[in-house]
Amino acid sequence: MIVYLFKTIHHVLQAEKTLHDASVPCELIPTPKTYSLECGMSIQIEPSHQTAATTALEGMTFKMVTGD
Amino acid sequence: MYETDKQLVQRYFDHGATSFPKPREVGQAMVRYLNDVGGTYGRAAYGQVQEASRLVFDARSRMARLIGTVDPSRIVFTLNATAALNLAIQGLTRNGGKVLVSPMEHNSVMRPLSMMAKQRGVQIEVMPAGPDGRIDPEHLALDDTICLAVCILESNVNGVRQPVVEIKKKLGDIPLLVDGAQGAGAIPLDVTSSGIELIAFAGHKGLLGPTGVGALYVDRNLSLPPLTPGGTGSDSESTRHPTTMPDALEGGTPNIVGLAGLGASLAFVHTHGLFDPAPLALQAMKQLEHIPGMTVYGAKDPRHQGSLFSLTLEGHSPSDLADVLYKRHRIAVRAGLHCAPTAHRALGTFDKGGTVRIALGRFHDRESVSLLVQAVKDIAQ
Repeated sequence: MIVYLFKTIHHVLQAEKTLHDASVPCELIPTPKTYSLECGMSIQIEPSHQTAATTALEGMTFKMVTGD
Repeated sequence: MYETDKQLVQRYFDHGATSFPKPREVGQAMVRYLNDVGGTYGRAAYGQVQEASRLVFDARSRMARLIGTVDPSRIVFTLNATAALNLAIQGLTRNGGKVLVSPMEHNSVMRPLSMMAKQRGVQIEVMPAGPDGRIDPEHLALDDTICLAVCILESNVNGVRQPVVEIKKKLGDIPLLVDGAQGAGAIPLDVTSSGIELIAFAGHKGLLGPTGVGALYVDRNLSLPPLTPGGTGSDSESTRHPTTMPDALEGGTPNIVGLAGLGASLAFVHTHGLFDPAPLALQAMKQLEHIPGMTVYGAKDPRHQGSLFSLTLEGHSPSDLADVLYKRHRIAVRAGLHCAPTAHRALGTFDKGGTVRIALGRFHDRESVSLLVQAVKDIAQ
């Protein structure tokens, strides 16, 4: 799975809305402990949607990691 | 559209204090959050937290849309307009710096500035204005010591609307803080075209939301310290407050139930459009000013009149007049100094015990104005 990390809850929700508007399936998850320097909520997507998600989120500040 | 007695609505002229009634969706959204949603803002990721967080996100996005910014993260939620003004004033005043104000400022501006004068040696200078308190931007004198200008959007005493866009143009790089407690919801605002850097809002007046929610817009080129550093649900390993907006200026659990209501009220405003009660206020002023012994305080030029105005009646103190209006006619108004002694001094009404304020709102109509005028005439006879 691919996890997108953001600095604030607001930006997580902004990203969720952006992905929803772009018809990219996503799920809000608790931020994995390894990356908990970011905010407590993150966005998880299937690897097959990575390109579409990254394109949709262009202009936003985020960190993308490969989850478990 | 609302759920209450129409008579009560028509006789309520205290919209400058808080708007009444609220659209029915406001209460519904608040009850739904309390009864069916629960959860806090962004402190976990289970369904209730997600939904509660989306309510806050929605309210923030709608506030951004209201003022023409594409970046909702520049909107910070506060307890009220006073907290928003304090955040800006305490954050931007520097030692020995000068702050420009209008002569019509509320104590929500003047008291924090007085505190800054005492603590930081801030100098307060009143901008040139006409007899109704409206700033004359052409005669504004600028110098290098000015760190901030503060101007009320619409006076909460005589309803005069300030030329905030022209003031901003004249100020150049000096940041302008607009106190939008009165006027928001009636006056179109666009921070992108105007370049206004800071606007403080009350959620419960013209924006039709509940009490306990306010907001501050902060331009992306400005950085302020938080007044209430604390938990944000982000960067939790650090004891330093985060610097990314909006968390940078928010600490602790927000008023989610209030923000659910504000989101609903802003949705109402977006659906039905802004509503300017100024034409109704002008109708009332025109009919009242002919009553013998009556003095009406409003904008000198009707084009600058907002949704409220003040009056005094010879032979009646403001508090007595307000009392009789309510007891005899169930007309609700506010008398006195309206937490704005500076404005009353500028208008010459301070020593008279202030004025009676007539503040019109979204659900008033011509019939409401007739009820008011008849009631005042009855007392003046």
